[in-house]
Amino acid sequence: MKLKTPQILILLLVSTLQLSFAQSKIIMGTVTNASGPIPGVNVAIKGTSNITLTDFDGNYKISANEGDIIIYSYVGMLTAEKTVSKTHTINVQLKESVESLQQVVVTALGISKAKKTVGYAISEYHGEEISETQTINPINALQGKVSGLDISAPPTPGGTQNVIIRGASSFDNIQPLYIVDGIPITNIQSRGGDNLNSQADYGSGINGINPDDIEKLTVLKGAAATALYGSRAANGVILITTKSGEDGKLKVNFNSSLTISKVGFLPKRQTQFGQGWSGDRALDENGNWGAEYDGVDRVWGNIVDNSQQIKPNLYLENNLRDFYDYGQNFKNSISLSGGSKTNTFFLSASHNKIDGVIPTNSDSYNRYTLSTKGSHTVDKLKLSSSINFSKERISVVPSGQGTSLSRSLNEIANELSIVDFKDLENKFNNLDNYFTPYGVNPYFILDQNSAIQNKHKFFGKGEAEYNVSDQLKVIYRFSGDYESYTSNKTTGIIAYSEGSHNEGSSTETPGEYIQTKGERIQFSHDAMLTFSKDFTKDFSVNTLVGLNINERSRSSLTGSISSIDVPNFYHLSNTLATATATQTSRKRRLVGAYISADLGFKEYLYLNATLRNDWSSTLPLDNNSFLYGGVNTSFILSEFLTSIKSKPEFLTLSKFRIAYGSTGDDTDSYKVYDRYVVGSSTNPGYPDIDDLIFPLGGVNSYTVSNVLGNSNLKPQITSEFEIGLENSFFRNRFGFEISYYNKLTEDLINTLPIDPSSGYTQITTNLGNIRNRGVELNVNVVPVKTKDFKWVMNWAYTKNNNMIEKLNVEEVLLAGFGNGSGIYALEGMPIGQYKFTQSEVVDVNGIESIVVDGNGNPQQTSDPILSGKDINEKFRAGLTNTFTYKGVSLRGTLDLKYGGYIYSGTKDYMHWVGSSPESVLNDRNAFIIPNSVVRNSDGSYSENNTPVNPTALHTFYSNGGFDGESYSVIDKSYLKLRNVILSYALPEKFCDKIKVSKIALSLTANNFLLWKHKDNHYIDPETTTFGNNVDAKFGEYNANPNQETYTFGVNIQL
Amino acid sequence: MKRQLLKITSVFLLIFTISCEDYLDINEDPNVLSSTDQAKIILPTAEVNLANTLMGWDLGFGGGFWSEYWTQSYTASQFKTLCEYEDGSATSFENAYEKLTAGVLIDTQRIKALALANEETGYVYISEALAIYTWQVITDLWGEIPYTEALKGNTGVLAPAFEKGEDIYVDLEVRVDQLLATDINTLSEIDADYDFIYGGDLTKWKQFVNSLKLKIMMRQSETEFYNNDEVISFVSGTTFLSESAKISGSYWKDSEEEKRHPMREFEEGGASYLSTNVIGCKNFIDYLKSNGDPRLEVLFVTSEDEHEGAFFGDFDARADSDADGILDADESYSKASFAPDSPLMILSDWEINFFIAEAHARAGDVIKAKQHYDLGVLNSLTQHGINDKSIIVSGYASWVNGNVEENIKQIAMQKWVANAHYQHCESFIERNRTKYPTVDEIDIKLDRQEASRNFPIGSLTISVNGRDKTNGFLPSSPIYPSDILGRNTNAPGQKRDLLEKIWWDKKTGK
Repeated sequence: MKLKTPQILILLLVSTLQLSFAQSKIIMGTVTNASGPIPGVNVAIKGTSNITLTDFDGNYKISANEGDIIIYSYVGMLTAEKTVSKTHTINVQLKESVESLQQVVVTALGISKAKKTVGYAISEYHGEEISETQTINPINALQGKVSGLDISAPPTPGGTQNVIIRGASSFDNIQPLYIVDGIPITNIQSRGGDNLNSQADYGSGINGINPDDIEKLTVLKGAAATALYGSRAANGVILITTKSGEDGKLKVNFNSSLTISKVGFLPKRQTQFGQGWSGDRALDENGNWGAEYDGVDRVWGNIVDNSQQIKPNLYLENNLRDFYDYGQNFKNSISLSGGSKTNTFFLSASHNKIDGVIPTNSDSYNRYTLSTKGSHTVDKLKLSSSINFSKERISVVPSGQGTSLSRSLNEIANELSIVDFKDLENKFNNLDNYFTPYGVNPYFILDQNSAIQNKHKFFGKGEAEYNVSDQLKVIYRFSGDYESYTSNKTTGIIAYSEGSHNEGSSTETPGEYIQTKGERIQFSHDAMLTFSKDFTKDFSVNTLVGLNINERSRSSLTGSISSIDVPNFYHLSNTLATATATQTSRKRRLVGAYISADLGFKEYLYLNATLRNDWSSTLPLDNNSFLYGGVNTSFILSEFLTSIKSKPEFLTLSKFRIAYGSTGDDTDSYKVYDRYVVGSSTNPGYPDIDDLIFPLGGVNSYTVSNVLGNSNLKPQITSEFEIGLENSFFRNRFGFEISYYNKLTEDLINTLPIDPSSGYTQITTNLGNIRNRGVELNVNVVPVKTKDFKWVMNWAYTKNNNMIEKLNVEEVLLAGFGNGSGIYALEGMPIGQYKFTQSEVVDVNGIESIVVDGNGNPQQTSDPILSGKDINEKFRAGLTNTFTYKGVSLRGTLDLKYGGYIYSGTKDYMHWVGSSPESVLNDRNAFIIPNSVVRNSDGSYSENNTPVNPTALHTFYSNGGFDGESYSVIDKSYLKLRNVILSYALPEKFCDKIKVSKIALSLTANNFLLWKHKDNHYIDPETTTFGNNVDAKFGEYNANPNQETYTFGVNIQL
Repeated sequence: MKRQLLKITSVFLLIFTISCEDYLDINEDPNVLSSTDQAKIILPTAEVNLANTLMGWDLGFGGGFWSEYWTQSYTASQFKTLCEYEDGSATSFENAYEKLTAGVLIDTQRIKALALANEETGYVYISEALAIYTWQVITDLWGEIPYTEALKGNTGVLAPAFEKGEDIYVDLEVRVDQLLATDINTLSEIDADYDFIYGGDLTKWKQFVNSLKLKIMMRQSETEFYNNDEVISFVSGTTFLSESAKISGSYWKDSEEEKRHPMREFEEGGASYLSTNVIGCKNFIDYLKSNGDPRLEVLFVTSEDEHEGAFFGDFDARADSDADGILDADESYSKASFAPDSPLMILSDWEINFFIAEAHARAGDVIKAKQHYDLGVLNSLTQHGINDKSIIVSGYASWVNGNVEENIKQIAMQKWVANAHYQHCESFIERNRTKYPTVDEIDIKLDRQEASRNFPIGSLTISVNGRDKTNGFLPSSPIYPSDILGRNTNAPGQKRDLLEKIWWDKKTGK
């Protein structure tokens, strides 16, 4: 019923307008401000499209009717309204808007503060900016927009974002804390497999949030900003405030979109040489080491039933691209909100259905979200609650070695049409007769292997706020987050018939089925007491005392069988050997008490101080308490100048801020005590090799764990100094915000691998100190602004310098391979130094020479050595341009990362199968490595005369060519056209006619242009398959490609 | 009033602090056993882990290749680095080092500590014997290693100092003598189920310790510390093990994951390492074949009429070495075979008999030398389930009274054969001591057909692809694992290559 009133009103309004047009007259006047006339002021008749601008002298003319309301608006000025009376002249003096000063931001614990009072950097984004990018995960929308924030998005729909704020200040968890409406969100990555094998990224908790529900997203970067959140916020905080109901009319917001996605970047390949090995054409090979393409029709594949297939011997440009499909994404979301003086409510529901670019629905994502929020006020008591539910089903195509899809595609020579393998019933395509025993038909992999996770997430809160007096308020909040998931991973049986072409292939597997069920529970109690008082006209105080209790627990149970009995039936009972089970559970608690005080002097000087003490269950009992805090101050020069009446005209806002803060951090559970684990003896040599594990012969046994407990663990403390300047000129036509921070993390806690001679192989310990220093810059410019057209530019720039200032051990391997190749932390160097084995180089008579072996191939160094490359980019920058013309707006964001390196397993593999563009050097004829020498038996060196054998080029290239194994570490610089959004809001008049308040249509394209470093022929440098912390920066191991998306969206608001 | 308030606040704070302490005391890991006072529950792991390591990934394959029982197949590449003497991660035997130290030795140390606390002296005895044995293996492989300061991670020693092999030997001898001085009748009983090696039979453990002492003495045969008279006087009147110290094959469940003999796991587990990567090596196969040794049929399987082995470390060749019209890469070579119930050997009866035989041979007592030599060969045949003893009686293995060196060689050659598929690591170590089988310097790559026609049967050859890497020598010891070098600030530098010799490796020869 409620809905009817405004509709009737609109009807009435429309008819009145039509009636009154006949009596129009011309109104004239001048628009001025304190310093004189203003040109270019927007003068409009409310509710019509009748608009004009003031001229150079501030004069305007507009036709209006008596009773009309004229609206005068200008950037940086308060909008004025005048009602047309009998007179023909209306002069207006506009007042300067102090909007930029009154801007309210959400700070720690959800406390809203005027931005001017805040003494640290804070970045805030409105919900619309997020939802218009049409990303599934809200954080993706920020790519390229927020300085100080490093976001890497996964290539697969529904995957996990890697978000790092102000550089890595730890060796393990460096993800920020996500808080939604005061509820800490569990954001642990769900994963199947491991870095190298069957890696499946099932996404993290933040995916359970519908981007359309977001009202505001705030990034708290520094220690001073996050100190109140305690140790959990050591890596920064992302605060999300969702929409809520307001007093007044019922609002309905409907979003619908259709997305088409296509495969993005695919590796560049050599186009010269065909299928084969050792230089000879061979029809059963998985490599491109054969003869040159000659264009002649030739038979290929195996002979089956006395027949063989025939095709021209030519490079196929698009055989890989053609393999991928167009993906689709349908999204619908609706929200209702409203309320009265005492009650408010918000209700939303959404559904996303995505099928990615890999054929079949094996890469798909399906999400439902439901969200409700409400509040009720009785007297001095306000009760509010929120309940959110999400249901996700994600299906992933695992990456890695073995018979992964990526490997299977790479095993197909560049001359073979991949789509023609689709029909698995075709006698040439079945397992027995597939052309190579070294790989498996990719369609078989898609058909048989799967990795699917179903996840349910509930999070919500109940909150009571009691105003004891105007000055004193008590708040209690109980919040919780519950996730439960079930993942199923299947690997189909690969078996070959006796005597068949592929009999004895090492791809044979008895199949596998793994089911994991788990849950993650987090709950918090928060109690706060706030007191605020204006002591004098010029002096105000706000204080806050609070207590926070947080408990996090998780558990999982995994059952697996590794020998499937009846094919295609995946159940723990369908096995030839006993099913095995594993079980884990963890729990941790944190208690925190804090106090915060804000002092304000006049309108231009603010000071805030916080102090918090945490008690953590993960630290040794007698050393589990740690105290930290911070002070920050902000001085608003423009206000000060105003108060002494000497503010220059061009200056809109000038704020100087300075902050110092520290946060402590604990570690994971169970790092303090020694333990015994079930006896086992490791059998390396993956894949498919199991360790020997007790019980044996009916006897169980235990062993001293390799993990040494550490009862001397101390909390790690991060202290950060930050200074910033926020300036805005010419009524916000030009503005910038610059911050410098210097953040030192001391006693950082990490797992330290130790010499097994000590009896143990690892301990969690305080390892050293790491410093991040950087500059963040945001610049806003409005180069053009006319009545209908506006151009806004935002530029975000970040430079972070990371340095490990102290390390108690020589080095720490952060991520990599079992042989020691990987990224390391070393004292005196930025985090993430690549170490790989390389070609051995010696100085012979002043010439740097490569030492080669008897086959003319470079000798590798026996241990990995520093390659002088690291994971850190030199800088990041983002540029967003927004053009609006009447209801049309066009926005584009460019995202640049410059410098830094990444490991590409795809490159390594393409060198093995001979498809890499580099592998055609010297047209694959014999060559002697320039400046190469052989080591003589007496240790001296003599010139090498042995050329690299053209029939063993696979050995040369797969060992890294001239460089050795470090060749797969490539420059990861890129420039991406992150998104382009064209949107059109239908004219208000039209909307009024059909009784809606807004209709907007949009076209969004994401990730469709990528420029990368010239040496990177292989991967989208954002890709990773190594988790989502520092280790993720290591690189990718046979990852799936990324995708481009094109979305048509509709937004209707009632 | 103010004082009252203060009191109330203090009481409140105290309660909060106390309950907070309990509330936060939840850091014991529920997924593991946090403590135990039972020494026996650790013993099976220590025993099995030791045996599994000796024939596992690093030492089982590494020893198998470097003793030239096996070589890398032409069509796969998993063990290429081992077979071409690449001094990289594969030839540091990192996993074995880790299992022996942070696995076996820390477990034996803990067994000892728990047993001492409960006066379970039997477990102290066994765990000390296993520890001495394990220390010898480690220092025999890598040479200079942490010893006195090792295994003290839980007292804060994370970078133990390295000690010379000869110094470690001195202490091992002291320790083994202490065990020899123990009266086993005074020891507490052992739970038979938890002793996988000797079922709690302390008499057999006593024999094990005697045998261990002999092994330590014999390893020093080429050094100044060796005194053959002392060995002879120790040998006479001492009872050595009559039953090999081993993990019996009855413990395996070959049809189940995680319950197999390691070599069966590497094959059956789905990775097929034995069938796709390992082929018989010509040096070993031809020696057994030409001498009609019945063990050939047990050790290898072939789909052809007769067994065939490949040149060691020759996998890039496109030659037809035996001129039978089939390229080397396409030949059906013999493949290593392990029965599902193969035991894992720790200290074998043949090994001890061969040591005794060698001591007597050195003393010129050929009668006793022959007696124990024959027993050693017989032990090996019995282990393979072979009843036909003709090779000892009339075949190539029958004792020839030669000079001392010839006798040592004969014993060593049979030890080489007997150790196949049981004691690969011991075989590699013993060859470095005795230098038998000898190395023939033939450069196979120069003329493969000629090499095939006139193959130096009974010798080892240098890896075809690794010849330049070691300048025509066989590897002497693994390099240090990067685990140690990168983590222990007291570690020495990496070895220059695989040619660094262990201190007792004094005999001339390649």
